Amino acid sequence: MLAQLHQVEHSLNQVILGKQQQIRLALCCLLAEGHLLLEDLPGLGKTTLAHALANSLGLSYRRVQFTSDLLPADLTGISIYDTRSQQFHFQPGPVFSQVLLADEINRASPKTQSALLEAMEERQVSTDGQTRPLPSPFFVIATQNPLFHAGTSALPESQLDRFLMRLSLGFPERAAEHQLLVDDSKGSRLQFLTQQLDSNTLQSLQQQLSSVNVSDAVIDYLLSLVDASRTRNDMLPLSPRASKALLRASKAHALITGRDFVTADDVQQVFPSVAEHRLDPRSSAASHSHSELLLEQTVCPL
Amino acid sequence: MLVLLNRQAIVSFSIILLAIIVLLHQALPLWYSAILVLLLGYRWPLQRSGSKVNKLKRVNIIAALILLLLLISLKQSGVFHFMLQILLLSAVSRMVLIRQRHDSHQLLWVLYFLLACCFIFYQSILLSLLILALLLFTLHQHYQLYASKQLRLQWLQLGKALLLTFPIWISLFLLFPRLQPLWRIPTADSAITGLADSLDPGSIENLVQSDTLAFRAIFSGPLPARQQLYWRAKVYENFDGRSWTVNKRFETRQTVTPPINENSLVQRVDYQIITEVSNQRSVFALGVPLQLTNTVRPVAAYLAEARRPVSQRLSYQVSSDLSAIPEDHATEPQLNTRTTNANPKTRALAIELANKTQSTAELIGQIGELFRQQPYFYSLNPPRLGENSIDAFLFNTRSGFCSHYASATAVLLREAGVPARVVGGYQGGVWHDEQQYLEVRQREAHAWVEYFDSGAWQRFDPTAVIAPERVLAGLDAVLSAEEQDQLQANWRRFSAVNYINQQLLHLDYYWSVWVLGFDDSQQYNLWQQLKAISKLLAILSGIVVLMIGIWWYLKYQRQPEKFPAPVRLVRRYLGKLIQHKPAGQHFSQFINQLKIHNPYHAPLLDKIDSLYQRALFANDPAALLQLRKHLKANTKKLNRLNWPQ
Repeated sequence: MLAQLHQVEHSLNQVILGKQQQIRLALCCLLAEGHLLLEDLPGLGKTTLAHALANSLGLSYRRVQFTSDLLPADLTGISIYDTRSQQFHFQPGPVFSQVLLADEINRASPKTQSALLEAMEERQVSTDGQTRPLPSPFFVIATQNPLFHAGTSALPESQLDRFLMRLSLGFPERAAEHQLLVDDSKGSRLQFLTQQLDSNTLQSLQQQLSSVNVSDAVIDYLLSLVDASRTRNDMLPLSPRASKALLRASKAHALITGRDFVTADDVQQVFPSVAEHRLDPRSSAASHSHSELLLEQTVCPL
Repeated sequence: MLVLLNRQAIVSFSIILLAIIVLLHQALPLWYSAILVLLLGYRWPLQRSGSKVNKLKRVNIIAALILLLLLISLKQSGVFHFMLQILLLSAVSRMVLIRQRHDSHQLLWVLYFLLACCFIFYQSILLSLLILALLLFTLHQHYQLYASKQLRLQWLQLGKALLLTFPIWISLFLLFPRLQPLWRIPTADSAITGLADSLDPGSIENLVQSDTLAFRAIFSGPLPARQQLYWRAKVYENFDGRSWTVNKRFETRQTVTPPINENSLVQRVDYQIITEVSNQRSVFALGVPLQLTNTVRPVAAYLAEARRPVSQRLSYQVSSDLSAIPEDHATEPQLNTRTTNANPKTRALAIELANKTQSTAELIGQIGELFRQQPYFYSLNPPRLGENSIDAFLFNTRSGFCSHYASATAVLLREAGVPARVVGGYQGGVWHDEQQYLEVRQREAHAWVEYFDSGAWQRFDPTAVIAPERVLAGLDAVLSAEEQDQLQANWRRFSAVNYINQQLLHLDYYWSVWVLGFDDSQQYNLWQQLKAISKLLAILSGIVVLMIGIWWYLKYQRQPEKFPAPVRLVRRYLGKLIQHKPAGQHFSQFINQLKIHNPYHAPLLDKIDSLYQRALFANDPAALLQLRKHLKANTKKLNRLNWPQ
């Protein structure tokens, strides 16, 4: 199974060139059953990555392009009056899929954004006084443009907190971009995506996560990182949800690295992507200044 | 690590070495001290010059030459001084070459040792303090070189070290057995002080001009009457018509045992004496010394004598009987009736007196009467006497000091056929009531007569007849104001100076009693006392141990261990390297960095890293065991790991 996962990682690397670290973290995020937020300038391949991820996991996915006039019902679905049966029928929206690709999520109004809140945290949708569960697994892979871009409105902290990780791809290296241009004529890079997991494999991998060993020492270290954020006033404090996310992501990182125990290194590897958007929601995803400060100043005795 | 010595360290070392050269001057010939100082000065041109190899050669040649000179003069200086000289030579030559901190290590230890050697030559409180200060200065230099660079921390560490070692100093001083030195410490050829082996008319007058301390006495019981305080030091039995000298029989240094008869004791006195340096063997005792500590022994004429010339302050216990001195040898009376042909008038007077009297006691009475009735004077500045000195004194000048009267009396007695001799020593002393000791200075020097009667040597002090106040109240009481002025040094006239001087003397007294006088017997007493309160001590130390245990338990046991076991292991074996690990870095990262700096040890470090990770993060006890084994087996390699500066 792990071999399959590594195959997926390999083929993802064929699609997005030169971004091994981010791809591994994205896979971590999905293994940890967390939602992923990709933030970048337009044209850096975040939508491609989102597509590739959804594809490679072998899950059903729906894509929604968020715009300022998108309504909550456009996501969750609406009840339509059937004149024949004289009844309302619920027409499920795109949220009822295994993977929701929310493109440019920060273009939507706060109202629509918050419609996603319940779906993301509870994995269910309540409309017309009825609660409908979402399929399992359920992921939101969202992309957004940096906040300073025109027509964007910031995601509320509560929603940001629901994304396990925020990643930024950044500009490719020169060699990678060269390769990209050479291969351009051969069609979409998504064709390189050969390997797919199926949802069963993914779920059993996710179950394996619980058998990853976490020693007290690692938890202590993780907590001292979280505590450190709570005693400072130049950043927001990390919530218990954040510490849970951090642990899950660390476990997923350990699993992907092929270990059945979490090391301090796992925590440090995932910490910036898990913590940065919670420490400072206004920051750009490319900068990890707050989380790196914490990593640097918190004593790691391990 | 290559750390260059700074200028300040080199200057400090030079100062300490110079001080040692000055302090040890007794052990160093003058030319040698000069060479050492020149060699020290030679360091400075070398400081600026280039190649080190060249220097090493040069200094080695110089040192070899000096060593040769020392070897030639070995006979003169003796083994002990020779050893000190070599040690100093090595220290100074090291000093010349020293550049790195690494080199200063041996130098520092040799400096400690040399400074400790200074205590052999000096025991006075001021110089002891000076040497102690130099030791502390050296220690401070040591800390400056090797301890933290932060000054505050440095003082803290130094203070802590001193505080921790202080109880050890004290208990070593109190409880460590006083071993006899392995080699004989040579006596310096310093001037002999105190009474000489010959007594001329005038010699005691010179001696009393000196205000220096001769010895101190501490009595276990009450202070005996002043008329009994005749401290015998020398017995003069040879008379050549003018001066008295010590008989050759004292050179045999044979120990005599006084005939102790508990019933016949007149008055037993127990006391302790602390003598100043005199560079003579003769020491002081009252009457017949019955018991002496073993650094001192009774010799001919029941005088007390040290086993070797007193070149350091010496403390000894004496039990004396204040009776007449028994005869130590059958020939003694005969020895002391020898007369000379000089002084014919004295002889005539003696015969006349002898004819008049029936017994020796009567004769003594007659001589006393003579001095009392004729106009004899007691004077610090008697007129000069001619050829027949006794004649001149008895019949012409009639003015003299104690030695004149003692000498004249002894000659009179001998001419009358009574065995008599002159005894030199000290009479009286200044009693310090608060400190409870008797201070005897050179100005208490005195001479009196012992004559043989009814089987023992009886004391007769003609001075007591002429100037009884001399015996009862001290020398000052009998001298004229002019003569007192003559005795007192100018500064002594200011009472404040006098007071300070006296306080310093008292301090010096306590120093000699408590520090220098702490010998085998005192140590034995201390042990006995400790034994007596052993139960109390056991309980006390039990309580202390218990309290330390509780404190330790509270401090370390109650708190959870700071680090998990694998972390403690790695921290311990990586030792000082740990300090290079940034706070936020974990060990695997740090080990990776170590691998970059120590590519040769990369496999070892990899192995340690993987074991460490398994042991710590997977809680694998087998990995922990292996990690421990691995670290232990490679301790040396780990110690040699590099970290770039």
